[in-house]
Amino acid sequence: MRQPDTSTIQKTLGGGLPIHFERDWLADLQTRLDQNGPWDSTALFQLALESEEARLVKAFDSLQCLQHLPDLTPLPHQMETAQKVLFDMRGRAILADEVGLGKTIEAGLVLKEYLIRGLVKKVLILVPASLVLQWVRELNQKFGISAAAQKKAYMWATTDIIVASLDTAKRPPHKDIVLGLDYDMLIIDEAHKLKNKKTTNYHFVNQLRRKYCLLLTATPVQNDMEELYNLINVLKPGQLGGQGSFQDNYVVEKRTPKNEGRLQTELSKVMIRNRRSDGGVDFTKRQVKNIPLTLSPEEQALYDGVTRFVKERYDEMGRQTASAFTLVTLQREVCSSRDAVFVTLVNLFKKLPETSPMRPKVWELVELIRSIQANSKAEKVMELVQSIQDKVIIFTEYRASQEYLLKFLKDHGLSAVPYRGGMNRGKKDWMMDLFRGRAQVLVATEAGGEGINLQFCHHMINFDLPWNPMRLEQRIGRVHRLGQEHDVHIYNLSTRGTIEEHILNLLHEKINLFELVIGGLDEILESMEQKAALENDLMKLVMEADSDQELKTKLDRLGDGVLTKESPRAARDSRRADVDKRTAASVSSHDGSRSRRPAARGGASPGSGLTSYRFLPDSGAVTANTFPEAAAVASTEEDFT
Amino acid sequence: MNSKQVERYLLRYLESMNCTIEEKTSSSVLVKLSPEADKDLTGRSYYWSFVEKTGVKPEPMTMRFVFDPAAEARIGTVAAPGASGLPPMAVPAGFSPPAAAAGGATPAASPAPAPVGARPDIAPRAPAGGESPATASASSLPANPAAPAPDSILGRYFGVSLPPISRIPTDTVTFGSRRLNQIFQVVRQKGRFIRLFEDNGKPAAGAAPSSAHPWLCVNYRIDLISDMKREELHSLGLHLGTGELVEGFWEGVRKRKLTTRIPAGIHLLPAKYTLNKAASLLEAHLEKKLKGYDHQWAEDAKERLSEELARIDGFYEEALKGLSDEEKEEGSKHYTMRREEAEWQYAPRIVVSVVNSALLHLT
Repeated sequence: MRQPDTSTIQKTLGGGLPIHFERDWLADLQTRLDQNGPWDSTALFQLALESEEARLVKAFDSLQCLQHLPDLTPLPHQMETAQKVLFDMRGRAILADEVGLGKTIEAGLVLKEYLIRGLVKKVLILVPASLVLQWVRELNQKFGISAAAQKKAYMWATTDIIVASLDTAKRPPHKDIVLGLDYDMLIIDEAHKLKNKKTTNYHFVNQLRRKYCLLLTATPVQNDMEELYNLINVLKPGQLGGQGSFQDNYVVEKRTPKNEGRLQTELSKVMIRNRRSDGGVDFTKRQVKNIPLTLSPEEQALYDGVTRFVKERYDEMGRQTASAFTLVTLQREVCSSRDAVFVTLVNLFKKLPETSPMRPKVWELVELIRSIQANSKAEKVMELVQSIQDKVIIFTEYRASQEYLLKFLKDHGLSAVPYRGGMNRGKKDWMMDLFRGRAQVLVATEAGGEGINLQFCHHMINFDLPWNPMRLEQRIGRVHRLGQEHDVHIYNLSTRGTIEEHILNLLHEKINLFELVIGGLDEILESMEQKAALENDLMKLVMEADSDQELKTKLDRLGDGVLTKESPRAARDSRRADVDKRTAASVSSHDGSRSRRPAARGGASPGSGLTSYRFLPDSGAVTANTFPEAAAVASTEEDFT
Repeated sequence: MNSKQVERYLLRYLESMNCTIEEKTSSSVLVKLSPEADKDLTGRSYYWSFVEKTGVKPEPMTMRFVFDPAAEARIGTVAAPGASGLPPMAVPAGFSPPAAAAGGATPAASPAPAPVGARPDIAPRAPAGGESPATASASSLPANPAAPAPDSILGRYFGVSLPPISRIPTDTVTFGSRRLNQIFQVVRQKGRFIRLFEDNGKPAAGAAPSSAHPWLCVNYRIDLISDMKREELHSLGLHLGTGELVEGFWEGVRKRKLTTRIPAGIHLLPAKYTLNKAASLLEAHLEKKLKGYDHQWAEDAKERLSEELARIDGFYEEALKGLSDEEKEEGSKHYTMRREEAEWQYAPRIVVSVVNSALLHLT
């Protein structure tokens, strides 16, 4: 019983075209013949042949993946992008769509197509840590791609489609394992992290072996032309020429391109940038309603009591913001609900030594809480929910407020489900399903990170306001995103005569946050050096203002400051740059039609030190507004990580 | 494959695996899997090794396969994708699950059997979007002592109640779905090699036994690969006695009456060619056939490859100049790597593999 020993036969067709005949089947058939069996079922034989016929890829250049994805309806620009990447760019591209246009969908389509064609098997997807699970979920749910999050070192080798954070992958012991593997496809999200060729990120990615490669970033150029050059050299070294010829051909000085037409042509071979202004993507509107309410005398007493207490303590501590965390928390909690502040007060009381003079004061406040019978905010929420008659998400910052609300709603015969960060994945999904299918109300403490998508709901109530605009934007982003078919209604509860009123004023009137287009805040904040800076500034102001009026004035000034920060380099030079220009620059990230300020739509993207984005591909619509001040004072920011 | 084709395919699979169809609607099928199909599809290897070791009676799973999710959603077995409108809510806490209610109510209220066509697992569900009958029935429930309200955790804490979780896993089987891909894979594993005999009925008494000619049928898949890919299927048949070669073989042969047993009164003619030799002949045939193709795709791919290589060469030759030795070493490593990647991505090639193969004895 001799087995044929060759498993493949290699030959060359005329013209040097190699041809491989696989022979592994032959041994199997021979064995069965020798032993007269076992033979397979004729029906299955026929079915196997038909399954091959069904999935046969009959043409080099027609998109197969859509017939495999009956539930997915990509937008026209996503389809176009996928086709261009596959058939023109040959699987190596920078996807540089503006935020919120679905770069992930485009990448998913490309990946799915290659998987179906059997051209890709092993895939490495590097994304920021906070997006790992979201990617895994999207690929699995939307594309039926069995991707997994990297958890253990052995998974690099065993898992075909793995999602990991770049920071993990580039560190030992993972680094050597990853570099030892061949990847049919490499996808890097937030690829602007590769803009500096001196960083470990850049070095690491350059050492990876890959066949196809997609780089995703909304901001391909942040500061200077060199960044773009580096990014493209990750993808296709030499596309813009060597270092010298690139400088000669395309760069006047750091931030000013030349030969823009030619540069655009070269870039359009490797980069696709879809923009919101190109149309085709209609986001629904945000309808914002601020609901002012007046506290009951007892609630007002508690608020005043806590505010006074917080101020006194803060002054005693020498106005050190660093150590005032509990105090700030107290101040914020009292805006939310008595339940929230109660827990913190009791804990504070327990921590204080028996002899501390603070103890009676704290206890006084606790006594104040006891006297409160009703919760004005919760009653308002009840009223709102009943008048809305549709699904509603209520966001609160505090667990205690959440618990209270859940109980309150339940007592009034409304079914509500909770959602919070501490829940495990399964429970979160379960809560989502309950909300989708059976409950009218979801009370959530956690908005971002895990990326819950709730397009089926278009009412949200901010029971209290986070002081960090990013968190607020994340809240809104849960419901207001691609796929939302209705206008989104946002209700902000704010109590008269409290800090909350001022904060709301700042976020709404000044930053115009609630009405920004999707991703608008991203662009504002991306250009701020520290995203937490605003929150810290707020705290300091609140703690140090002596009167309500003073606080209001200071907050107004802070609001103006934030706006100029949209273009940080311009802000740094605010003394020199003339105000009108700056305002114009800052507005460019707003949807011009709804902005209160004169719109300069399509101006230089905020945060870009470049004189224009004209040279980026597909950007014919971008007007050539230049901001010489902003460009001239721009300092280089190197991103060493 | 459209949903009708998928449906037919699935039913043929289930039939050939000896599964028991318990219920069939226009959009789904409820099926009790055979042990073999259960092993293939449910991934319960521990359970099956337990069954085999302890010898307990195996209990294969019952599953519902849905091939038309939209139609099925109208009936109500699965949630409609993106169903909007208010579902039943504000159900009083302690409202008992409808199934229990239905079960409990029937004997008490009337001995009438369940309405024809009612499916126990879907009856309790309210149609999406409509005025909620669940709420309506809920209000009448407390009066019924036969349906004590179970104190579910959800009911107690959140005031919601769910119908009992259906123990029947429901799966969408559409083209591209995981389940269908899994079935495709199983089928390809299990439908590799067959041996069949043509049966022309009983020979007349005293007639000389008819001779059966040995044929090897191989279903080939040809992949033309560069950075993109095209595939073809070819079914070739080779007469193992004479070396005669027929294209489109299986399509013609499958219409004949074939059996797995040697029919009576048949004489099997011996094979002259070994399998090895036969495979070589078939491959030679394909090779000749492929030679006649227009290989512009390969020329295009080669051109793209040489463009890529030229670009890479140009870049690294400049980049490597004026570097220190150490940097140069690192740089040339990347250089080699990028060149290899380009070859990997673009170099045109043809791969011929075998889907399955049959030994046939044809009269």
